[in-house]
Amino acid sequence: MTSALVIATAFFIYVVLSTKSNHVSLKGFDKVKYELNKYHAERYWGIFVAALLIWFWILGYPWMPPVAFESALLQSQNIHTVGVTAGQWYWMLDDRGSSQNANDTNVNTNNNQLYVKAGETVKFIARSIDVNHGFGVLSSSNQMDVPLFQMQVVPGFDNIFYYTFKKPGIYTIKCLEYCGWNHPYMVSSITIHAA
Amino acid sequence: MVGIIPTWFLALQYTQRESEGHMNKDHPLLDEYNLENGPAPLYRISKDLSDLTLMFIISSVVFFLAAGTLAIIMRTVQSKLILLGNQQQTIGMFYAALTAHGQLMFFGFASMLTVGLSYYLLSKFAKKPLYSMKMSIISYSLMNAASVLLIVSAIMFFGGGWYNLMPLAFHPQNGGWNIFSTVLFLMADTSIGIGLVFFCVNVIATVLKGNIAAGVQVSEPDEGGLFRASSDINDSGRIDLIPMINLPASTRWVSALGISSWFPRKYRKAVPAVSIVVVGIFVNAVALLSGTVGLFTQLGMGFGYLLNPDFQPNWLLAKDAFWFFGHPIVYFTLFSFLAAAYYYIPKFTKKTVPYDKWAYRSWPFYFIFAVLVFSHHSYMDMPNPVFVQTVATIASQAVIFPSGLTVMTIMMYLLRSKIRWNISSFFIVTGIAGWVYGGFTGAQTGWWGTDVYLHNTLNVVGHIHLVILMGSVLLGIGLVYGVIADLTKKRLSKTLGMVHLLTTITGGFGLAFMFTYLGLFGVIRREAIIPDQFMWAMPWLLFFALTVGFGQITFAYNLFKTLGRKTTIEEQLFVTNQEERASSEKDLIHTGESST
Repeated sequence: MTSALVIATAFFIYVVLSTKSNHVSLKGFDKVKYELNKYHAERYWGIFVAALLIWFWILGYPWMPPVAFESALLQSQNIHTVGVTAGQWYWMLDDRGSSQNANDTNVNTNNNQLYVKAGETVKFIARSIDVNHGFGVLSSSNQMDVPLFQMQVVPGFDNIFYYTFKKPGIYTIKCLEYCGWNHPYMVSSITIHAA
Repeated sequence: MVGIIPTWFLALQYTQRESEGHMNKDHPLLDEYNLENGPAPLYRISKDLSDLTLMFIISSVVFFLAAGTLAIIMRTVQSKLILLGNQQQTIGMFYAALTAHGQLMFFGFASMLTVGLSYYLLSKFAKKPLYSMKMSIISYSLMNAASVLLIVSAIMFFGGGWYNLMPLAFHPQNGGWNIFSTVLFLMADTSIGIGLVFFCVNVIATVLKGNIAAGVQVSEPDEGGLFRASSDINDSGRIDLIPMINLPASTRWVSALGISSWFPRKYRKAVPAVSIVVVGIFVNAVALLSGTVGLFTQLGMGFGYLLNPDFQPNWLLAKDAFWFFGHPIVYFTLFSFLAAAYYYIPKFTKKTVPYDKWAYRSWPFYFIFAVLVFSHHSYMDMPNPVFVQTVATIASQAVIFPSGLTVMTIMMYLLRSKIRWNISSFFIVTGIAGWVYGGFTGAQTGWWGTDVYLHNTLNVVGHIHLVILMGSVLLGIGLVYGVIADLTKKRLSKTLGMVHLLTTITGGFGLAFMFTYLGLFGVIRREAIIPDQFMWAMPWLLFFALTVGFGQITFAYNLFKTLGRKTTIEEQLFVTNQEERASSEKDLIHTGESST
C-alpha cells in the first residue's frame, strides 16, 4: 500500500508541475489531450483497471473465509471444537473435544478444561448472551499484539470460525467490537500446547 | 505524510504566481476577485434558496466545530491528560464523545453540507427551481433538530457507538448511560432519516418533473481539428450554455443516471445527457433513498425492542440494515461533491478536454455499487450468507473501476492546464488526492481475506478519515469557498483561507496516515485505554487533531466575519459586472424566483 501511495503522490506532483509549465503553448496542451483521445486512452485505462481488479479478486479468492475453511477441513484429520461464550464483559471457553465430523459440535460438553494442540484445526463456536462482541485472537510479537483472526459474535446466532494454530504459546483473546464502557477490559487468553 | 507534500508544493506555486503578478492589467480588481472566488453558473437561484443554502453552510460549520471538540476530548482521554471524576466516568466520557463525534460528523456536518450544497447545485445546473422549498426547509429543520438531540444525548453520556450496533444501546450495564438518552439518540436518527427522505424526494422530483437543462455529451472538432466541447463558446462554462430542452419522461431516468453515456453515439444524441452535476446529485439521491429503508428497518427493530423487551429481533438483520444505509450516506457526501468537481475544475483550468462521455460513464456504476457494497462492513459476521459477502467483495473492489475513470478524467482536466490556483481549487484538488489515498486503503480493507486482520483496527479509522475528512470534506469546503461568493457577493479572506488550508491538510493527513499505519501494526480502534507500547502515538494524534481544529476555528471566524461585514468597492464592482454579463446573455439565464 505504501508503494501505491508513493506512486500516487509522484503522479500528483507531476500533474501539478505540468500546470506550471508556462512554456507549453495552448496548442501543445490541446495536442496532448487530442492524442490521448485519439488513441482511446480512457478506454484502455478502463480495461486496465477492470483487468487489475479481476486479477486481484482471483488472487484473493483462497483467502476468503469459507474457501479457507474448506481448505483447512480438507487438510485436517480431526476438528477440535471450542465453545465460546461472550458477555459484558468476559469470555468463557469450553472444550468440546475432537471429532472427524465438522458438524459434530457436542462431543464432550462436560470437559471445560481446554487443551488445544498446535497443528489442530480448531472450530470456534461463539455465542453472545447480550450484545455484539468481537472475538479476536491476537499473537504477541515484538511486544505488540497483532490480530491473527477475528469474527463478530452476533447475539442469537452460532458464530463459527476455523483456525489452525501453527505455534504453541499463549494467545490473547480480546473483544474487538465496542460493547460498552468496559469494552477495553474484555480480555482473556488461550494456551496452545506443543503437538 | 506523503499527502501533505503535494499541497504544500501547490501552496508554494500559488505564492510564487502571486508575486509574479498574473493579474489582468486592464481590470486588476475584477481579475483578482475572480482569482479568489469560484466560478458560478449564470442561472440565478431564488433568494429563499440562496438563504437556505447559507443556513445549511452555517449549521454544518457549527456542528463541525462541535464534533471536532468531541474528537479532541477523545484524543485527550487516550493521552491520559484528563480524568473526569474516576476512571469509569472518564471512559464513559470517551465513549459518549466517540458516539456523538461519529454521528455529528456524518449527519450534522457532512450530510448537512452535502444536502445544502446539493440543493444549490441542483437548481443552478438543472436551471430550474427546486420542486418544493417547503420540503427543503423541513429537511433543514429535521437535520438541525437531530444534531441538537445528538449533542444532548452525548451530554447525558450516551455511548452506544456511532453506528449504533444494536442491542448495545439498550444494555449500558454497570450504571452506564440512562435509557432516556437512548430514546433521544434514536429520535435523532429518526429525524435524520426523515430529513434525508424529504431531501431525496425533492431532488428526484426536481429532476424528473418539467424541463431541465441539458449537459454536454458530444465533443465536436473545432477549426483546428482538435476536439472541443460545444458549450465552451465564450468560455461561459462547459455545461450551462445548451438551452433547455424537453426530455421525454421515458428517457429522463436514462439521462439522469448517466446510463446514456454508454450508448453508441447516434443513440446518445437521441437521449441527451443532463448536466454532470445533476447526474451526480440524482444518482446519490436515489441510492440514499434506497438506503433509508435500511435505517428505518434498524430503528423499527430498536423501538420494538425498547417498547417490548420480550421482542427478540434478528440483530444480524438490524446490523446489515444499518449498513445498507450507512455506506450510501458515506458515498453521498463524496460523490455529490465529485460531481461538482467535474464542473469546477475545468472552470478553474479554463480548458476544454475531449473526455465528456467518460465523465458520465462512471455514474451508473457508482449507483450500482453504492447500493451493493454495504455488507463489506459485516464481513466478520459469519452467519451472513456467503453470497452476500461475495457480492460485497466484488462490489467493494469494483467501485474502484468508476473511481479510476473519474480520477483519470479529472487528471486529464488538470494535466498541463494553466489552472487558477486559489483557496477553492486548492481544496478541491487536494480533496481528490485525499480520496485517492483513501481509495487505496479502502481497497485493502474492502477485501474479505484481508479484513480478517484489519477489521476494527485503526486502519479502518485511517481509511474513513482519508475518504471523509481529506476527501469529501475538502471537496465540500472548496465548494463553500466558491459558493459563498455567489451567495453573498462577498469573498472570504485569502490569508485566513490559506491558514485554514494548510492547517487542515497538515493535521488531517497527519491524523489519517497515523491511524492507517497504527492499524497495520494491529492497534485496535475504539479503545479508551491504549496499550503502553502505542502510547507514544497519542500526543501526535492529539497534536494533529488540534491542528485540524485550529484550521476550522479560523474558517468559522473567516466565514462569520465575512457574513457580518458590508461589501467592499471591489465586490460591488464585480456584482455590477456580473449583472451586465447576465443581461447580455439573458436568453440563457432563468430565474427561480417565481417558484417560491
